Amino acid sequence: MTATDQRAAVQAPPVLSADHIAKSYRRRRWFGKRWIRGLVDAGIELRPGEIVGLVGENGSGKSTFMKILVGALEPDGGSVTKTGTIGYCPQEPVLYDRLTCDEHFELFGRAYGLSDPETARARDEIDDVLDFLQYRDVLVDELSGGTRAKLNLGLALLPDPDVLLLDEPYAGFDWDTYLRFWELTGQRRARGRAVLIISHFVTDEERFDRIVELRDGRTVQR
Amino acid sequence: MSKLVLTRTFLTEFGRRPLNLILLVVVPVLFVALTAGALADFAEAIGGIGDSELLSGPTAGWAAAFLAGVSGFFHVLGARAADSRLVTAGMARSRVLAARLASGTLLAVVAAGGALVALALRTGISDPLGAIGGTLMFALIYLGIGVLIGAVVRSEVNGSLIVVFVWMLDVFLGPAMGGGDVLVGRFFPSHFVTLVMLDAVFGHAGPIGDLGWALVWVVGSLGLAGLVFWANTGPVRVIDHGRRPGAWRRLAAGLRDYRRNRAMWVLIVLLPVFFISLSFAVTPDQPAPVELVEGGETMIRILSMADVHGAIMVPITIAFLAGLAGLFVV
Repeated sequence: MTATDQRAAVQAPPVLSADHIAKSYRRRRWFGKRWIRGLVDAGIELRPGEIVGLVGENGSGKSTFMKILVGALEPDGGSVTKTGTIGYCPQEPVLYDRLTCDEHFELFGRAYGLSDPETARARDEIDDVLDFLQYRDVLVDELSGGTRAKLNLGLALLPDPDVLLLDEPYAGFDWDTYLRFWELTGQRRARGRAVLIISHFVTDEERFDRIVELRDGRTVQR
Repeated sequence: MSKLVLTRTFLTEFGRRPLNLILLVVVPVLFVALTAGALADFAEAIGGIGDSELLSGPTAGWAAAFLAGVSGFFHVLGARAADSRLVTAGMARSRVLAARLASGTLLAVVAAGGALVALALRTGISDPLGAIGGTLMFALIYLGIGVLIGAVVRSEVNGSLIVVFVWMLDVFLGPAMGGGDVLVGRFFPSHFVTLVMLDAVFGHAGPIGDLGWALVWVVGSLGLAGLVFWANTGPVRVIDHGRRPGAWRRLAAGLRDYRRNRAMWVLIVLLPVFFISLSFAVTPDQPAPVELVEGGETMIRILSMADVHGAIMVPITIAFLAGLAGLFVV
């Protein structure tokens, strides 16, 4: 991202913002239950054309925070404001075991409200970039872990959403796919899409515009 | 996306599991064609209906109910997380629910059809309307039970066992097997539909009659299942998988996990109490000659039927619990 682009991104209104997010969860025992405070005061702003990293230790609440951003979990407190469409890639592949890759794209294309030609075009692009053209008619049950992860990511990319929320998307990728993933993310950023990527640790810091850390339930800029 | 396409997709996914298709063929044949006679003998021994011709109608219903319940459970459980992701992606929750119930209903119809074909081959069907309607109601009631359990239970083993136990208690303590009109039995899912199929009148159905209550069970079971499915479909729930520890740690963790399985402990405590107490309660306290071998000598003694049934249930329950404990290891 050039300095001009960065200035433009900073000036643009956020496509997704979250303020003062709090979330506790209960741990049940035989008798009674114990409340654990996961998020205390977490917040983030995502603007068009920026790639933001969300880091933190295991159990720091990164995935919980992302589920709240996507609307899959209700926060105990705080607010989330979205102005654009959202694509979400969960940490573990969430797929139908006995449907093929193509059937998944067809099903999720309809869920996103895409027409059949739009779905086919987006699917072909994803197939090409992530290199799993030969698995299009293979059942998910028969795919390797890495290929499932590609399909899992592909479903989030399908509608070319304004905001991409990716929970450890490249876990299980080989090196070549990892590079292709960043190539694809760069293309999306160039088109003005915002991307939030969760990682245990960030190895390629230069690939991110900003890095936010979750520490003791609070978000801090790094 | 039309509901029809979504329903077809869900059915395609279900049909690609070979075990599902095997079950759809094997269970009706096994129940109706092979075990109806043995079940009638067993029913007679415990004070129920001993006429295998009369019992054959409910037998078809039991087979259809078992299949529909188990199919409904796996149909929902296996796709729960993916259905939630689909809803999160923008698919209307009502469409996913409608497609799940529609595809489940088709499976229930197939299950009922298989059971009826087996019944027709074995004994013939003298009252087609009653047999078809009754078997379908059995299947739909249990489809609802299976979907409901599939929407809330996370473990395949726990969930399928719950379906099986509901079915077992329902069948073995119902009016066909258990005989008399036990008060608690009136609240079991297939009580009234069994009475409809047996054409028996106990007189406790009130103004809407046995058929009315049977239909209330069908609508109530599917309605409640739909509500629970609705409430549980949406958020994406993901299980974190850790690294594989060493053998001893795995064993210790396995034992800890085994010990913490509340469903298993509840079943191990409640099942003997429930089965044995109810076997005493539902069996008529009438004298019956029993051949005994004591000290190498064979003798005929007159014993209470209730005592005999209760005593028979003890080793059966022990064997069952041992099998259950083994099942939970997996």
